[in-house]
Amino acid sequence: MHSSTGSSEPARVLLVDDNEAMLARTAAVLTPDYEIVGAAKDGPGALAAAGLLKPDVIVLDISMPGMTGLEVATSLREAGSKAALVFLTIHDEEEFVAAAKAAGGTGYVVKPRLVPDLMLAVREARAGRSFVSPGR
Amino acid sequence: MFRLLALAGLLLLAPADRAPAADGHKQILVLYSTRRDSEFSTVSEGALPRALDIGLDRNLDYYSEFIDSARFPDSEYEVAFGDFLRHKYQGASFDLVIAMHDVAIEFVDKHRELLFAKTPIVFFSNDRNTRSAPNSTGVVVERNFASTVSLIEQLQPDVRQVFVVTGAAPADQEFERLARTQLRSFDPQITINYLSGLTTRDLERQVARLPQRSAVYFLLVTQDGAGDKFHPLQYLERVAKAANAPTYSWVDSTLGHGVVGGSLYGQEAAIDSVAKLALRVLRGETADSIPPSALDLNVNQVDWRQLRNWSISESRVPPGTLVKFKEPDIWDRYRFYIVGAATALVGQAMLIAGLLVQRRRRRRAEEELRNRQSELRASYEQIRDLGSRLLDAQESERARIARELHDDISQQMALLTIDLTLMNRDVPPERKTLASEALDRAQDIAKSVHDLSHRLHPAKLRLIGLITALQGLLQELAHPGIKIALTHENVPATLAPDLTLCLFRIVQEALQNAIKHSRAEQVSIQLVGGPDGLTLTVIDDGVGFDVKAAWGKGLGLISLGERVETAGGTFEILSTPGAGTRLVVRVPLQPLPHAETVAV
Repeated sequence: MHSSTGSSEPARVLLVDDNEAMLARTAAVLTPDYEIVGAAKDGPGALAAAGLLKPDVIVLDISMPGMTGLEVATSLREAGSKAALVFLTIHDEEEFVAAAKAAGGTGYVVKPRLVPDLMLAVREARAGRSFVSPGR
Repeated sequence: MFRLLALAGLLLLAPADRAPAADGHKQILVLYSTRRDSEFSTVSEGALPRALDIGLDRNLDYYSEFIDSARFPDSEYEVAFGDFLRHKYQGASFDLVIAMHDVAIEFVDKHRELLFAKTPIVFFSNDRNTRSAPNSTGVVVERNFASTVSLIEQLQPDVRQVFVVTGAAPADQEFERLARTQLRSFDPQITINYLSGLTTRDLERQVARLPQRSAVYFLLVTQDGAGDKFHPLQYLERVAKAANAPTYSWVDSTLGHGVVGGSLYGQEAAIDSVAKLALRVLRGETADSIPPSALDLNVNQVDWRQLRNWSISESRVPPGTLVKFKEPDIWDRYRFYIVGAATALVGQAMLIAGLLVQRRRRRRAEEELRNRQSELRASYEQIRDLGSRLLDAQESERARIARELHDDISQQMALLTIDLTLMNRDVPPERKTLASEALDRAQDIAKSVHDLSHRLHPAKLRLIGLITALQGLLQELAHPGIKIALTHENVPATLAPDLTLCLFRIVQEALQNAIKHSRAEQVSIQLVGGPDGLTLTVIDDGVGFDVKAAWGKGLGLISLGERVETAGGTFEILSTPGAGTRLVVRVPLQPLPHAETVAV
């Protein structure tokens, strides 16, 4: 999946997580290569931001109060979002990976492997390829 | 005639002077004053020979003759009768002659020398002045006409006139004479009238028009004023029938012939006395040594039917009176039935009473039982409620801790891991190993915390839904020796969170049982949605168990079952040792109260 703004431009990323520290780490990991266009702390915020900002990639937590990341993903698809979805989550079980894929996720990164895997996952997602954290 | 010829034959063969019967038989001749069919004769001929025969040990040779003086009063007849006897009993030698009543006594007296010179005599007389001849003894029963009038006074206290009925024959007149003597100085309140020697027509007409407060006293009629002869008892019946007042009498043979009763002279008793006296003489006592005895054999007797006929109260009958012809009353006739019916009735009443008492007791017992049952049910409900609340509390506490672990500690651990990873980049080479170990440890701890959180409360249920969670569970429990299959159809897209959790827990428990205890090789889990609700079926091919015995041993499935039932569902475990286990849970699908649902 390619960004609508072209490959020369840094990809525009929207972060969604209910934990601020996690948002900060994520932003820190991605910042050198990507443009962080915004951050949302829950499902409705994410949907609103995605609609406004039209990001190329959305890094999305699964377990959040209210809407889950999976539900947000489904709603985004329904709303016609073209953003690539990378799930960043605590859950490492196989069925979550499956559920994430079913919801339209391209990348799946478990939080402890944020540093080694997220850049890779986002890059793969930008290229329209799937990535899943190994050794979960 | 034949008998006479036979007697004649005997006379020809017999010796002239016959001694007393050599074979020990006693020859006895009874002479009656009356006719053969008179009441006295009839009674005596029945009773006397029998009494004598028994008394003589069956050695009786009994003869009887009837002078019948009432119908044959002619003196020439008496002579002829004497000749007849002489001829008839020429060869006989009587051991005893019994003379009944005055005519016979006189006849024996007169003809004794010719007929029975040496034979002892026993007489029966109604006259105390009867002269006792030599070699004789007797029984005197005087006729007592007065005592009947006394009985009339007792039965009918208002009677003022008594009409004495006698006939025209000499014997009848003799009765009238005797009555006039005996009744002369009676109660001055009662007038005694005599209807004597009337023609039958006259008599019947008179007794039919007697004044009020009268009584008829029948003595004897053998011949009426017109010269017609009658059997006294038949005549009595005519008189009693014609009379407009009660009729009384003096002799017991009249009872049953229309009389109310009277102080009645008992003929059988008289004959019995004669028989006893005769036997004494026959057994060797000399007649002269036994003085004649005077007896009073009158007994008050009444005919119950006549009492009723004349409306005479039975309460007036004096004590000691013989009441004859009493018709059995209802009690006498149906006593057996009445007693039976009464017994049955009482029995039934007691039975009914018993049943009523029992029913009351049973009702009380039932009510008590119902109370107990409702108490039991209430306490069961409480326990169930408590169990449910316990489970809820446990579940919510677990969920709370799980959430804490997940939302806070897991996140923190993730952050720590991330930070350690970042730090490791700048660590000098000699510290690399230590830093790497710290990172690994942090990751291990993060994983442990995450697993613990998941075990406490399957957070993924909320996140990925029941079916996906169940698939995850199957993978977690995957084991080389067991094959677990999950199928589902028409399961609604969203389910209430507590229902989802409950079903998940049930499957979790059932699978753990199947693996740990049942040693099952195959387990199938089926979830089917329908219009009435959702049905979960878990079947294993393990060793099974005794459901009742296992009940209560583990809180897990039971509490979950109760939970299902509380929610209006059904929970059923079918298992027999050796035949596997089948668990069927049905839950209704209620409309969800709010948006809190779980994706399936």
